[in-house]
Amino acid sequence: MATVSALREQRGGLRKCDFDTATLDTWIGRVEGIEDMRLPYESRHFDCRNNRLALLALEQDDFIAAVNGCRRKYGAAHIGIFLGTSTSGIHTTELAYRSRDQDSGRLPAWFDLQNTHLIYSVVDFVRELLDIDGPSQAISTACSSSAKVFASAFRHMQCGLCDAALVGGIDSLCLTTLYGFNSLQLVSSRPCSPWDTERDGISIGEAAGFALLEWEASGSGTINLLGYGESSDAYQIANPHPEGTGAALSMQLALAMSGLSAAEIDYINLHGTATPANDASESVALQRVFDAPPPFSSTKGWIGHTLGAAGISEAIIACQAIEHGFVPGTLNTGRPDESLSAGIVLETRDQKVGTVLTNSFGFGGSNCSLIFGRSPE
Amino acid sequence: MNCVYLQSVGVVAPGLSDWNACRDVLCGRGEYTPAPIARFSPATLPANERRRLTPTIRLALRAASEAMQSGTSDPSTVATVFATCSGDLDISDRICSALNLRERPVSPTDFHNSVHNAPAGYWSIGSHSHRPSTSLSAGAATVAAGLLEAVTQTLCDNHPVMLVVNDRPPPAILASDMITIPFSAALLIDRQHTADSVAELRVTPVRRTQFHGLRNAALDTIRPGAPAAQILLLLELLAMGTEAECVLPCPGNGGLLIEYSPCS
Repeated sequence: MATVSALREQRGGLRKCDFDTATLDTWIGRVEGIEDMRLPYESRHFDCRNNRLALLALEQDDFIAAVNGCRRKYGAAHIGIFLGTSTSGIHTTELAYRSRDQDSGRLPAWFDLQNTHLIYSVVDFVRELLDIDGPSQAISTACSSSAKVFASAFRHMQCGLCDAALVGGIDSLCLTTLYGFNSLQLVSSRPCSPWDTERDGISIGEAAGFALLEWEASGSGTINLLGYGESSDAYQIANPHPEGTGAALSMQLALAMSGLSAAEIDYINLHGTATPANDASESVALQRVFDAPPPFSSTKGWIGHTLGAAGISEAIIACQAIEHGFVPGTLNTGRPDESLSAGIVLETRDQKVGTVLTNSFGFGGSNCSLIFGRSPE
Repeated sequence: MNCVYLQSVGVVAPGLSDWNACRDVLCGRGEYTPAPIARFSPATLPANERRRLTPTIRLALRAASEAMQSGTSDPSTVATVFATCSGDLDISDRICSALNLRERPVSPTDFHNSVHNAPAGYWSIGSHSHRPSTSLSAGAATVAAGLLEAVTQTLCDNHPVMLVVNDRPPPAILASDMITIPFSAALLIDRQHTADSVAELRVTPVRRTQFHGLRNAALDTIRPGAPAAQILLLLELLAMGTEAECVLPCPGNGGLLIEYSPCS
């Protein structure tokens, strides 16, 4: 509910960069209190910023109780776990390099590559913590990671490999992404302003989000994943296709699977990172798929670009838009770029939303679009 | 029943330069002799992209290229699943070292190659494939997770899928017992039976099962050297070419049973 209130009240969470020893002139979305967190004793070998952030998210909204209920219903072996992350616990590796032995060059003894740095770490941590024993995987496709978890979970359930699935995404702040995106001249010195004439880059954020999916409908009026679409740009590693080819394809595939026409989508949550090239490419893709796009917006101005957690964060916002009846605005954007698709929603407004399409596009040309809607009442 | 057709394969590891060499060792026709892996340069990539490849990416693309060239599928119609435990740890080392310097000079090329789907991205560029691609990891069970992902993709979304498993040991500073050898292999699978189909694979998760090693003792000693090398258990079935089964490790007590039947 805190997210819904913030979206309704136009209250963003970005701040001037104050992460670790970073000295970049940029804004970030930093979750407070992670530095003082500890993992449960039996999970302590997984300790890193990414896994602490995962735990913090699991502890919200009675989520662990919901997982426990699901385990009682189906059994641990029948629940799959599919989590996205792009950088896992690399901040711990950065800290270990900072503490290298001056003489030998060795990393400190506390450093644990497998349980913090490697991509599977957060899945291993969460599956042990919540006693989930079905199929498991960590998806790492940059900024589409935690959108694609919905597609993988759907397929595993369709093939009868699990009856329910814990999906999610976790990406935490690290110097690698701050200085890495800075080296590509993709970070803004202001809070990011998607679709704006003056947009000049991203604000990096951290986030963790989870959703529990069941194959069998558990009542009418629940929110369903109606379709997914995945595609590859086959263009360049760090630049989107200028004609939005892959992005258009992922939206078209999601629409085809959902059985909905483009005109039946009520709201689009853009990828909308606020780099000049990304927004231009997504705009061309929108024009290729929609004759007249429905209301659309980017929520990156609230929490920043949370990279491997962007897909789940925006999927959750999409579901909240349906559940609570509103279209989120586009924070920090004052003057929409007239060369881009018209119709971006700047201020959050109440409106009945039955169906949402949400886009996530990543480096490597990895695209994923998801469509959510209510099951028939 | 989760059943798919195996179309073609590719392999590269120390002393195993391709599938033919690997098959000869697996079925006892050849001795296993470890040898360094020759540098691979994919001809399908434009020169400006080829220059940016890291050894980890080259390893994955080499196995993928062999599997693709051994079949008749049009590469632009094939979806991909890239599964790795290690990722590209040379890049992590270079970035973390750069972050320790005063100006923090992270290389832009290193950063964009640091995404785990970099091999998949380069593959899609070289193959002109707009099909879906997933890059995933599941620690010691990376092969089983990758295979399940590839099988479910071809069954649900009805296109051929190439699974590429790929691990490369870290530089000394990040040394891990988990990954001590470079290993990559690729399997092209399809829900449709075609002229390329060599075998039918049925995959089923199982509990509390017995794990068996490879018949070839020398290869079985390298199998624990990389989670990706667990795929040798499946490749042994292909090398023997008779109806048989194997179990790939999964987390906890689990395993993934693969029942193999050659296509006549």
